[in-house]
Amino acid sequence: MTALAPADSPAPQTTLLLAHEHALFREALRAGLERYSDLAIVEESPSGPMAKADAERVRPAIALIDSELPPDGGISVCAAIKNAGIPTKVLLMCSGDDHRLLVRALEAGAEGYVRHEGGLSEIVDGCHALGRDEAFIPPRLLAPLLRGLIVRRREGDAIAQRAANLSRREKEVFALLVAGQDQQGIAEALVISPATARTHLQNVLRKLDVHSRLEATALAIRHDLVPTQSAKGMI
Amino acid sequence: MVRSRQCPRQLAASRTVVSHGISTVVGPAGQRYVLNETALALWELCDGLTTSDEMVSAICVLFAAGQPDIAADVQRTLSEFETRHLLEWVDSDGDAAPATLTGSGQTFEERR
Repeated sequence: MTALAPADSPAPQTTLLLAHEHALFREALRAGLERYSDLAIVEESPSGPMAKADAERVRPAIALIDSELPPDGGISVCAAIKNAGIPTKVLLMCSGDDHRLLVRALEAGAEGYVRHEGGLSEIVDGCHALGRDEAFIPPRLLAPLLRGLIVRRREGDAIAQRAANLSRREKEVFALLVAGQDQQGIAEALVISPATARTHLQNVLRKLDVHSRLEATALAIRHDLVPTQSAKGMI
Repeated sequence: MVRSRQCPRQLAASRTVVSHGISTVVGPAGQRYVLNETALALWELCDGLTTSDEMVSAICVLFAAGQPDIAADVQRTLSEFETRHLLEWVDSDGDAAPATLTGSGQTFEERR
């Protein structure tokens, strides 16, 4: 509220998108949140694609998204909203104290995390925190969350170190693998024999300590080791 | 100064007591402290394996404050723990590494 607003002006409302599969849950939550005059549910969505589309259309301040939202879960919806550049904050609703889920949610761009077990008060606290541009993590999850982030960081550093040990040729082979090339495609792109390409691939897998090309590709994507565009540029 | 390649570790004689949802750290001499949420999270990370730099990096992921501010807060909190004889500094392999920390603040309150 600005300093020039009349003293009796109503408090500005934080607009909410409520995304949950079940109408009963949405209706119950709406009834509970209607007791808070500074919060206003402006849209409801029963699925991930609808939640993303509604967020893009309505642009609520906060999207309250259930982690089990069909078909792909709330974290996927969160990532879709963030990747689309929609300026809506995401408060993920989950069951239990799964800090690994919380780490994934934060990595997907979620600003907050509330538990079903925390009841309406935790959801309201979360909405208010996000409305103040703060993150919201239930206190009891803070330590396991920080530990999870630290473990992830260590894993990432170790994997980056392994990738740094690849030779220049092996990095080219790795980039082509991540870009979707098979052994024959790699051989043609680098003008080497398929047998040589196979040897390089085996070295890449050994140095990365993975057991398959698919695992190597997943590792590269998850830890941003080889941008796909770079890989294409090498061809 | 907190040395980033060394890790804070809870003194073996200290312990954490949770009662009615309030976590209290009890020091070796029986002194009791009620920690705020962030201090309690840091306390739980004082396992002798986690560096203060790792703590700062993880907190920076969560909160919008700048890295220097968070680093200063973490340093102050760890300093308070040490000043109150709740933790020691060890190398990452677990060997004790005496360090001197200075700092002050009101991260937690003392209970008698």
